Amino acid sequence: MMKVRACLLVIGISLGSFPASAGDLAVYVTDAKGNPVKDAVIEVISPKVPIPADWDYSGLIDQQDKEFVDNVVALVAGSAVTFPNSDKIQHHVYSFSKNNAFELPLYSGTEAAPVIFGSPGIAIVGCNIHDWMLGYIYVGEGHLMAVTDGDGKALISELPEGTYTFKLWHERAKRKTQFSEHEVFIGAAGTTVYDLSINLGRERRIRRAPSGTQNSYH
Amino acid sequence: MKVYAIFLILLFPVNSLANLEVDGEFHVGTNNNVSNAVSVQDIFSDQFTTANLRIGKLWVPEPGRSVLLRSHLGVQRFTDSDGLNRKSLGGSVTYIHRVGLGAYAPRFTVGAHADYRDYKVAARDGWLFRFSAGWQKRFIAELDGVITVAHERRTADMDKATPLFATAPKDVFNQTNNEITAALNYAVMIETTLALSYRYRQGEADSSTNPGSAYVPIAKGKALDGALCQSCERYVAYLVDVKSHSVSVNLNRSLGRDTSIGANFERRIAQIEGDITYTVNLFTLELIGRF
Repeated sequence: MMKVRACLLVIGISLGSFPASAGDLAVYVTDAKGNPVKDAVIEVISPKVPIPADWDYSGLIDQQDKEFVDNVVALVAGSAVTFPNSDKIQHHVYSFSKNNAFELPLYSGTEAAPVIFGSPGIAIVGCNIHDWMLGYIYVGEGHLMAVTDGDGKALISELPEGTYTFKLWHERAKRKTQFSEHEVFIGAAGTTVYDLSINLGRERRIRRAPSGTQNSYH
Repeated sequence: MKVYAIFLILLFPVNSLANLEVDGEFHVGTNNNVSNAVSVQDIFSDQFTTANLRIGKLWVPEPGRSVLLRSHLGVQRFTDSDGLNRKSLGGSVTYIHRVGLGAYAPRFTVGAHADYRDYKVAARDGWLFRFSAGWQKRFIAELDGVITVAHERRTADMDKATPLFATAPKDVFNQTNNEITAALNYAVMIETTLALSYRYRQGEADSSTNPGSAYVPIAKGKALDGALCQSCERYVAYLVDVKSHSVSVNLNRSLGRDTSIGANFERRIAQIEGDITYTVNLFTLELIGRF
């Protein structure tokens, strides 16, 4: 179920900060019950928009209290990601993901070298000591991407006027909606709001909390 | 107690990137046969509370290999059978070897565990040593399996036991056991886990009975046992060879990242010599925390 809500915002003084004939795309993602969905990635896939020459090809996923902080990030292929460890213990970060496999054995602080994610796709990141730690790196082909926040909102700014196709990815999205593609017209100015509902599957990850039979997690 | 002191010292090295680990649990439960008795008239059911605290450090000297050193403190209290009330202190060391990388790589563990148990009735006082080896494998995110074999040795000072009669062997609480346990843990939802386990145990156990019981003559050791109730000072604890089968079901729900509550039911069927058996049903509610 999807619905396009065109919403021309009053531009006023801020119009001057936009390039000529550019608008924003705000995608609001909700689940089947209407609850906002956090950590969904929205990527504009066509038409191709050249990546700006001064684009920042870097990313960061911190580790605090034995968890990846902001554990879903969207990056352009070729980006270098650092995995600082803010815990006072060591972590051992790895990914088996096709074309983006890597391993950062036992380290603390910021001593681990950045990892370059060269191929588009999803890199699932884990810790070899704390099995419940889980991160997702969405490696896109272009730079027009955003991750939904706690309100389920992803904002992609300064799109030249025209019709665009974007796709959605969420770790728990069911097959029908995973990588689903959507078309939207972006006006010459203002924000176009696109509401998108997806069906989420059950959360499939390793539980952190101890239990009577698994008090130790190693 | 010297062993315990050594563990304490080892837990606090000046170094390091070792991960401090503190966890504990609180149980309330009921045991329908605290006396491990065969005859109906000797069976006592009782309620108990248990609190355990473990403080430890985990070292990961190289990828996939870790050593966990822990110190344990425990208390158990029974409502009626207060002679079984105990405090325990001890420590353990466990080596964990992960074969490969990632959550789905199988793990092998080898551990040694020693607890000194101090009962209200001194005849039961002594060390519990346990040496174990295990294999653990996660099959999917929601399901993992564990197989553990263990050798257990319980010691007691038999001079603290009161013999049933002057020439009777009174060595009841020195016991040796071997066991194998297989368990499956399944996350029904991310918050809720269901665990099933089976344990086969072979070795020795103490049962308690009235002095006139027909089972006393087959015992390897026998001593007066005043631990069970106010009116059973003349009861006899006796040592027998036992093979037991235990099945348990555990349902657990997380309350937060590092806290959970659960319910556990265990049924144990123990076979003494011949066809003589006793059964024990344990039902426990648990609160578990990692700090």
